[in-house]
Amino acid sequence: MKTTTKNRLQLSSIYFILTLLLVVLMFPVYWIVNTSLQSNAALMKMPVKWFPAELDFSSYISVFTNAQFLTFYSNTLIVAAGATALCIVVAVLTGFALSRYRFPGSGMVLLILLSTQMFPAVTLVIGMYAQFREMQMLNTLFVLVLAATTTALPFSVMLMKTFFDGISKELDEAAQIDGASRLRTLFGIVVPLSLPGIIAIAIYTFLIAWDDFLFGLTLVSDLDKRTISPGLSLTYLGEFSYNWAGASAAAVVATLPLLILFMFLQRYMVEGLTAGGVKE
Amino acid sequence: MIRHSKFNVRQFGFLLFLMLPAVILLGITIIGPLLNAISVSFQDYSLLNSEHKWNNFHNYFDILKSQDFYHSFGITLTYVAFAVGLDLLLGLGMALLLNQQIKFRTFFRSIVMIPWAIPTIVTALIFLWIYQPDFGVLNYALQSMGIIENKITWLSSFDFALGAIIVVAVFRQTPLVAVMLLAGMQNISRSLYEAAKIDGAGPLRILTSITIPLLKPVITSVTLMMIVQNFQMFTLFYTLTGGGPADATKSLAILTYEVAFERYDLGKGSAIGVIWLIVLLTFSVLFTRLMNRESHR
Repeated sequence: MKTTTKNRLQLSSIYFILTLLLVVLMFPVYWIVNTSLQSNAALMKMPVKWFPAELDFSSYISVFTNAQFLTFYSNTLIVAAGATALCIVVAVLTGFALSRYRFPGSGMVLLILLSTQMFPAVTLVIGMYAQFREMQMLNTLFVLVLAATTTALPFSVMLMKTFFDGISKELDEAAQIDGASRLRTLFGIVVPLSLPGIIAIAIYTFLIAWDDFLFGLTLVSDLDKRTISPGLSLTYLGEFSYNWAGASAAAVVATLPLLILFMFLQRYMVEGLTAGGVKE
Repeated sequence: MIRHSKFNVRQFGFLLFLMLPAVILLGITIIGPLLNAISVSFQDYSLLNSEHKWNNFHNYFDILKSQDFYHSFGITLTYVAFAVGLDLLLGLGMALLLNQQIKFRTFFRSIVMIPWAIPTIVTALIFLWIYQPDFGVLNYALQSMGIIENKITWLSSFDFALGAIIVVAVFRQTPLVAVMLLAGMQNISRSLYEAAKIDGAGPLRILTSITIPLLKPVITSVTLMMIVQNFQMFTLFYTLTGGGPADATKSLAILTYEVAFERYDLGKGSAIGVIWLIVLLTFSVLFTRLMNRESHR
């Protein structure tokens, strides 16, 4: 009897703290939406309004009719989609090689791959700038695709290797005895079985590429090649920094694809993040 | 015999096919730029003129002689210590909460991840607005609760700017830390907890004698990951304060960027970059060694 009341108290305090936590974590998100639905005039008038007095969609309309913003947006989509596709291909191939074969240099590849995470991006970006300047590849979206892919690659390769390690080697051997080529075995049997892992690295890479700020800021300077993060920073955090409603609306629109992606696929993401640990 | 060697050639060909994309990609985006950065760091390499020549370690001497580097290094260390410390502490707390037998656990877990799915630039923008001195909600709330009297200019104050950046970083990073720690916790066998309970261990004892020791490999790798990530944090510093007020938040990443791309001195910029690359690599190797040795004991 005594323990149940104690348990109930404990349980309700857990729910209380969890709810508090959710409020703290969700408040900034709520706040930007709240800001985006008010006019700048209303925002600059005290007291602070916890809810929009009247919904004002004009900031959204100006975001969607702003040709420059739409260019930033589609550039980011291109870079993120390109990086995701490239990263899946490279991570699947490399992960499979590292999982199934022991070859001279395989340890070296793994070491280089993992240590790239330790290289400061700012140092690399200077080297990239010098290198791509000589190759006359600055100001191309392709360079941003490459940079984002490399950022996402170490984790992706490790994740795919772990996934492949979990798929029995006997399965490949059986398929090969049945006459399937190595390529058929990989793409017809192993890849379909590791679809959750592939979805996880796809989301991860997309998020990384969408989030990129430094590469987009330095390797690209043409306005029509700008991506969304440097674009937002240069448009709203600079001289027009009084336009909080506009900035908020642009920020909400910039976040939407990620939130939608996350809502539908977060199960895979959590599974993917967990997969590494489960095998230990 | 012939069949055997043919098999090997085929296997080699397949392996080459598997590995070639990664090798090319790493060559173009890591090895190439790294070698470039190192070679540039030994040159008078300004973006303003086209003549680049070897300058006898001058970039390195200049940096190690000037105060800027040590100042930025100190700021970076302070930032990393607080951000990672809070990430781990709050992340552990959050993971423990989410690991309880509660209803709606998956719901809570997905909601908690949301700050992580928001782009860094958007997080920065949200907090710029929350911190805004005249119309921001933070000053408004603190004033109406009577906690502060005068408005605080959070991001342009010597006392608060770095702390304000740390808060934003922790807001964005803690969920990921929590989910990774949670994943580790769920691998700890339930029977261990039951056995401890039967032996009369309280929740605190269970935490310190079972959860944390068994979680150590996960904690170690998460810690290293967060240290490395925060050591090179650029976006939040650049967008929230740009290194100000008067260099009070000028981290190494900002210093490097500023020298290379705003003062157009690519040579000196990459020399700074190379120095902290070495620092970071050395630290990572030592940290991993130390942690491995301890867990082998």
